[in-house]
Amino acid sequence: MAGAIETPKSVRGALSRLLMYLGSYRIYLALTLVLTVVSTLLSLAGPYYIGVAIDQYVVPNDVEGLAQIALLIAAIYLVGMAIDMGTGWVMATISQKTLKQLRKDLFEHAQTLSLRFFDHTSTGDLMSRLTNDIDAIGTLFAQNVTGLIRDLFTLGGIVVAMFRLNTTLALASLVAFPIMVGMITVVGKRTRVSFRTLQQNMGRLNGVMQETLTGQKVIIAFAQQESTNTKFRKTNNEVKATGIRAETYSMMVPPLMFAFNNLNIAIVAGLGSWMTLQGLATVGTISVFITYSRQFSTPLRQFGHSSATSTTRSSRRSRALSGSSRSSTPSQRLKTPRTP
Amino acid sequence: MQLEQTGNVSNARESGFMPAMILLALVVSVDLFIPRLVQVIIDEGVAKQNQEVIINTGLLMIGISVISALFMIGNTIFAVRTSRGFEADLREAVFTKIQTFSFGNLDDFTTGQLLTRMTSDLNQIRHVITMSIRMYVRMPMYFIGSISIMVATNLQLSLVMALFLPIILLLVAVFIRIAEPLFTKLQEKLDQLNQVLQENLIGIRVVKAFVRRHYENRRFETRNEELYGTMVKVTRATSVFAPIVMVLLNLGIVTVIYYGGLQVSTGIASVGQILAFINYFSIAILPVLTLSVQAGLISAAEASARRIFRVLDTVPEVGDTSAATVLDAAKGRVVFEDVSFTYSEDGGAPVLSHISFTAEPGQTVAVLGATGSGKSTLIHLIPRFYDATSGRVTIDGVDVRDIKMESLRGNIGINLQDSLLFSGTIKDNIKYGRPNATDEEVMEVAKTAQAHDFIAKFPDGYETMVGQRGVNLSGGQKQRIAIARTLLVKPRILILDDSTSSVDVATEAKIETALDDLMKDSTRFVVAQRISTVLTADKILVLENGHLAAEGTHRQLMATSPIYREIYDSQLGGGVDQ
Repeated sequence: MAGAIETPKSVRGALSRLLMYLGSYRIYLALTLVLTVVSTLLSLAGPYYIGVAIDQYVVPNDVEGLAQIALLIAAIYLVGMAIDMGTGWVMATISQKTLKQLRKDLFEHAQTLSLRFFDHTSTGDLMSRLTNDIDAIGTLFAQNVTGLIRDLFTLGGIVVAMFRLNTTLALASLVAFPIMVGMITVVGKRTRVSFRTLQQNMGRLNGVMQETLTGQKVIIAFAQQESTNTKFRKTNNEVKATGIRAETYSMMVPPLMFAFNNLNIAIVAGLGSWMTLQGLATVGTISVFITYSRQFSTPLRQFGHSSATSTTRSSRRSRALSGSSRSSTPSQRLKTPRTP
Repeated sequence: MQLEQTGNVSNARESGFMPAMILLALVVSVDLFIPRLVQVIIDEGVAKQNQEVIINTGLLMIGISVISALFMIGNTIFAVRTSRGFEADLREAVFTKIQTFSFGNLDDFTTGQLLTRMTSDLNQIRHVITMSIRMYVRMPMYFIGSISIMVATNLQLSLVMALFLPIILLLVAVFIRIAEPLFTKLQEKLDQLNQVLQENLIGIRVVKAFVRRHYENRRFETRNEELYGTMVKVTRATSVFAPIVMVLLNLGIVTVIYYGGLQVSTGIASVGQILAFINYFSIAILPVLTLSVQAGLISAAEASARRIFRVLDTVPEVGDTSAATVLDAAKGRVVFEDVSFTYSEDGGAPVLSHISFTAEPGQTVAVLGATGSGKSTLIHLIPRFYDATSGRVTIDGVDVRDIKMESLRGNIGINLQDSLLFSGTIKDNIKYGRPNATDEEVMEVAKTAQAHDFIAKFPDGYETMVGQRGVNLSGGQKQRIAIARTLLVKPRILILDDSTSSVDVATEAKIETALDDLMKDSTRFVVAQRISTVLTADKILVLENGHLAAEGTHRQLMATSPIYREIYDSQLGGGVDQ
């Protein structure tokens, strides 16, 4: 099993080919993206005005003003909801239509491949490639098209808002940020390697299972069930071991993000309170920063999580599209039909 | 629920499950502390201008974050171990179960189905197990914990917030009510699409040979369209549901601000409490959202578990009885006594009806007949690939059902119609039934099977790789290697099921002559389509629609059986003199 190494370039190429599929929905997409930006900004405005409400109305006991700003915040959230529902509905249609097209193209493409290709690729492997990989692309797709934009604007918006509110507190809450990014990168790198090994072992296990099942009657005829079990157990245990290794790292990301989030809240609350005593901050600002910290870590967690799984996904993406990855002639197995 | 029953299959549960759970409970309790400390820092520190409280509480919070992280890392390690171990155990259970299957059981599943059970179905379940160890259990803890703390902190404000709970829970119930059947349907549609894909890939040669591409494309397209229809509904349901829950959460927070603000003005609540409430409310509600959106995963895993249990609950059709005996050094006298056989238990047309005959040790018995006349079925009853529906098959006078399977099959060498080789070297394949055979023995049987000459011509000889990444062997070459594989077992009863159909007549004759020499003491069964294969047999059985139409030597049958003569004339038509 010669594992051809995927260059980032091929992944990016696969990504852009995926984007091509979205091309025909350009207008809807543009509209959705604009609305997504609006809704993201609204989701940041909510906590901001809550901070304002605390400082200007709750602390000074302004009951009338409090009612007004509460209504304003409620309105902001309601508009945000309306937009989210609308864009969600449209994106559901677009992404599913695209996926349908992708499945169709892949299937029809498989029909044009030469028999030689099928001689050298096990049905089990092809099956898992086509079904699981399409699944994975689907998940990635549904989340990422608007999700990516939302995440980027959330991160950017929060950073801008934090600095406008309180520079010192903003710097303090960003202290943990490079550590976070560093950890994601390290974990990402480690997972990439072990996920690739896992994939190779999984492919081998699939091969063993496929061959066993096809030859089951021969196995029965020669009463070789025990030796077959032994052979299977060996590969199965290898998958287990590499699976544990790969996942222990990747699964570590979300909880670590969560921990950093707690750490951030601790820093903001502690330092913010101290600064409030010195007259350098307000309780409302602390409230905004705490909420932003939570919001900040969500997209990061998402990134971290997908960077762990998306290593597999993006390689799958290019695998499903170009069919490279595991063949000794790395590139473009599926891409160039070799029908005689 | 079948999903829960899967737990019984594995003992991975015991190894990592409990530690993971305990660590998780610790994480939750530590996490729930944080908003409380924010409240303290604001109310005791800022409001009362107490710098010491601020510093101490701040440091405590940092400490707690670190401890929580450590617990979480521990939980992850155990969770991954448990779920991966669980997956491996379950896969092994399914795999070893399949190894107990008889031919009849195998007929109930396609290869693709069984493969899916051990791959994507297992994945689905593992995913839910991981999630449940890490998240699902944590979610209710956060929910209950947060609400308890809220009630304890400020009962009045909690009661106002309580208005939101029934609405949100009702919404979740409605969503799951709508989504659950959709998810089930989605799973179905996905299976159907995969089915089409599988059949297509397995039969790709036929598809190509008959230029069925457009037909296949249309077939796929129909399933694809159906899957799309369900997918869109599911995605839309989620994309409407999630914003509504989010807005309810946010409106709840607005209520905290407004109502809490009113309480602050009358001195009932503190600003710190408001901040804590906002956090606790989020902690309680967000998991509800996550959980409901993932309801699909759980129902998918449930469906997967059901499918896996269909395999695990299968009872092997053929097995050893407690009274089974060992048959060593069989003479090889095979007798069929009024044997009938039907594939389906609930009647159906019999494949074999009232067959009786005797094969003496050392005899060669040929079975002749048209496709579908029951030839393969007949010989499959000898090594108990299937059991006779009525009547009995005996070896040396003992009913095959009373012989221990291992010793029964140890005495029988059968070469199946489909001469399938495994990936590996030619030598590995020939030694398949007897891995400890010597090279000389391998070569001897290869010579008998007329395979030695072409094997020797390969650059790597017996070490030549065959199968997926190896050389492409012709049908006749594969058949000859398969025959060698069967001969190496040195069976008392040798069964060749249409084993030389792709071998030319001259080579076939050579194989027969060589066999007469090597296997002269064994009872031999030869199933054939070609009459030239059976001419020299001691006894020829002519099957017609499951009935024994005639029995005898070539000479006898030529004289007495019109069917036999008809087959003879149509195939050899006097071209070969006998």
